[in-house]
Amino acid sequence: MSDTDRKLIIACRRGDERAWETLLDRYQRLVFSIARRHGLSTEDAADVVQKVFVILLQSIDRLPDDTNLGGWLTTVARRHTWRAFARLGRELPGEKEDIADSAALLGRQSPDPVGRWELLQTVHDALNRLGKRCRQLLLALYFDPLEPSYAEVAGRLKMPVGSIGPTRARCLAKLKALLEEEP
Amino acid sequence: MSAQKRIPFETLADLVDGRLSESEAAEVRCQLADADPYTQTDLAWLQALASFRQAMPLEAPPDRVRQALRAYFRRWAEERRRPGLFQRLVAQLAFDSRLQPALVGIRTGPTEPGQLLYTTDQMDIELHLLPAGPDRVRVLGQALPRNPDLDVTACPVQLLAGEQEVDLTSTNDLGEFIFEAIPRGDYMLVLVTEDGEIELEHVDLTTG
Repeated sequence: MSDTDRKLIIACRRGDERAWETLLDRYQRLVFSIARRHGLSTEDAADVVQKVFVILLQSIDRLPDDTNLGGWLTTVARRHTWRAFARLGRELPGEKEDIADSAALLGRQSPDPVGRWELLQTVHDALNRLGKRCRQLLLALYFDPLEPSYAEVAGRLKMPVGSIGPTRARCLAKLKALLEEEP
Repeated sequence: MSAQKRIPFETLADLVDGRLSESEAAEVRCQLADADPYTQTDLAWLQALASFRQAMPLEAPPDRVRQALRAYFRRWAEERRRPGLFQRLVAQLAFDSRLQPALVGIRTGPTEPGQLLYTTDQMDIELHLLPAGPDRVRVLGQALPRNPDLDVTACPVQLLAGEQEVDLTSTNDLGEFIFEAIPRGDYMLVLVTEDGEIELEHVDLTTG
């Protein structure tokens, strides 16, 4: 578990609501995206998110310190997504295991593709390791399905519009460096 | 031969994001022909990120999820571990045929099947382990609820090594499930029902 995650888990065990909110900020997108990328509707994926974080709370006292929290949440999300499909009487869609260009994204020489869920979690973890400003900016510019304009993002983040471009470049460079660090 | 040029990262990002005018984009593409390897690597990375975000956007769930989880945490923090409608149970190993004393003169080996029985208040889970080639095991399992009204059809069953998923299957209408050709070793098995999860810790998948 990263140092930050470990501190958040310890604080949640003490009933610290802010720590819980921070954990949700860090990981709810990952869990939701896993359910959505499997093909669940927004509503069904939202139910999976709720279940997964309820399970996290129920398990929180038993989580070892060396738990990879992102990986743990991914694993739980996968089985509850499967459960959702079973409940809907639908088959889990077949998965393509590799993402094109995953090696380039992670700065690896090997052409071997990385599994899609591993890649999602790796990118998500790297975004979490960026500072709050960079994380908010890159999520808004690159991962918001509504594709807000620079002006909308500037308003949301209280930044001058003219600074979005250069800040974006600096944040992307940081993200690149973090992804290339990953083992 | 002119020296290879470095194109600024921000310019490449603008190119990939479609933020350059047609003429600006054409000029940058022209420059790319003479660009240094660092530029080429940066461009490849930005293009890979663009592919990734198309394939795997990181959406936020609806606001109602946050509100529900906030409320749940408050209740949980107040009552700490109050049993809820959704439970996570850890099953106990009640029987392992491999631990039974061998009959005199009969030795078991790694090719002999094994039978395990795990129990909780809600249900028993039986595992039959069969050899499946060198160093591999076939697992035939069945969930046996104590309450006949508990539906164990189409329950996901996940096999984990540490925190990594090794395999994922689901039960049939008799609560049966199969994992094929699993490498011998120590695993966790989690079965998901309508009411919660049942965890089998330290499932030793060796036969005999």
